[in-house]
Amino acid sequence: MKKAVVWGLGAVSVVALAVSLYWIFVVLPIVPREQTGFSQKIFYFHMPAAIISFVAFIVTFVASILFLAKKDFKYDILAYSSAEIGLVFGVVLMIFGITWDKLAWGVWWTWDPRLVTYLILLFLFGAYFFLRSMVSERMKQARFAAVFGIIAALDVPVSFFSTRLIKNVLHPVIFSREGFGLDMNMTIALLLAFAGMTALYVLMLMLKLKVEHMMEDVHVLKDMIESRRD
Amino acid sequence: MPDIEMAPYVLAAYVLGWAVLVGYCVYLAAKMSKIGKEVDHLKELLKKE
Repeated sequence: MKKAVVWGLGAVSVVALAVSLYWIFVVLPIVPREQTGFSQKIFYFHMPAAIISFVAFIVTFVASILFLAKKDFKYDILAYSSAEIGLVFGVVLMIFGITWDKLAWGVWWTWDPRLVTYLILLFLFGAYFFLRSMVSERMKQARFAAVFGIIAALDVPVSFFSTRLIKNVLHPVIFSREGFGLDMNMTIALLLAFAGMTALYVLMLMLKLKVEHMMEDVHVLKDMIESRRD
Repeated sequence: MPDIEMAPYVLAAYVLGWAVLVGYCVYLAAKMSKIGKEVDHLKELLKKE
C-alpha cells in the first residue's frame, strides 16, 4: 500500500468534506418550510452515505461471487472488509435519516418502504458477521459467508427502487426520469460531499485490507515459529 | 418546527455522523499499529529461533 495514495485519499476526503460543510451551512440558503426548512441540510450527507453503503454491499456481492468461483481468500477478505465499511456508512445514514424523519415528519421512525428495506439490509449484514463468527473452519466460513453475502446484497436493489416502484411513499425521490430536483449550488454541495465520502470509502477499504493482510502475516509467522519449535 | 429549533438536531446528526466515520478510521489506524508491532515482534522471534 503506497503511503502517497493513502495520504492523497485522506487529503481529498478531508478537503472535499470540509468545503462541502462550508457550502451546506454558509453558501446555501435555508430552503422554504414546505421543503423541510433547515433540516434539508441533512440531505447532502445523507444521500452520499446511502450510495456509498449500497456500493460497499455491491462490492461484497461481487467479491462473494468471485470467491465462490475462484476459491481465493483475497475475495473473501475483500467481501467482509467492504461489508464492514458498508455497515459503518449504514449507521451514518441512519443517524442522518432518523434525524430528518423527526424534523420533517415529526417522528423518529416511519414504516416507509425505503426505511424498512434499508433496515432489513443492515440486519442482514449484521447477521453476515454473526454467521462468520459462528463457523471456525476457514473455507467453510468463507463459503457460507459468500452465499449469505450474495443473498443479503439482493436487498440493495429492493431498497434502492422501493421509492420508485411503490407509490405514495414518504421518502422523496431526487433523481428521476421527470428531472433533477436540485439547483446548481445544491448540486455542488452534494457532489463535494459525494467525492469526499467516496475517497473516504476507498481509504477505509485500503486500510481495512491492509489490516487483514497483516493479520494473515501474523498467523503465518506464528505457524512458522510453532513448526520450528516442533 | 421553526428552523432555529431544527438547528441543534441537524448539528447533532452531523457531529454524530462524523464521529462514527472518524472513529472507524481511528480504530483501523490503531489496529494497524498494534498488528504492525506484533508482526515486527514475531519476525524478531523467528530470527532468534
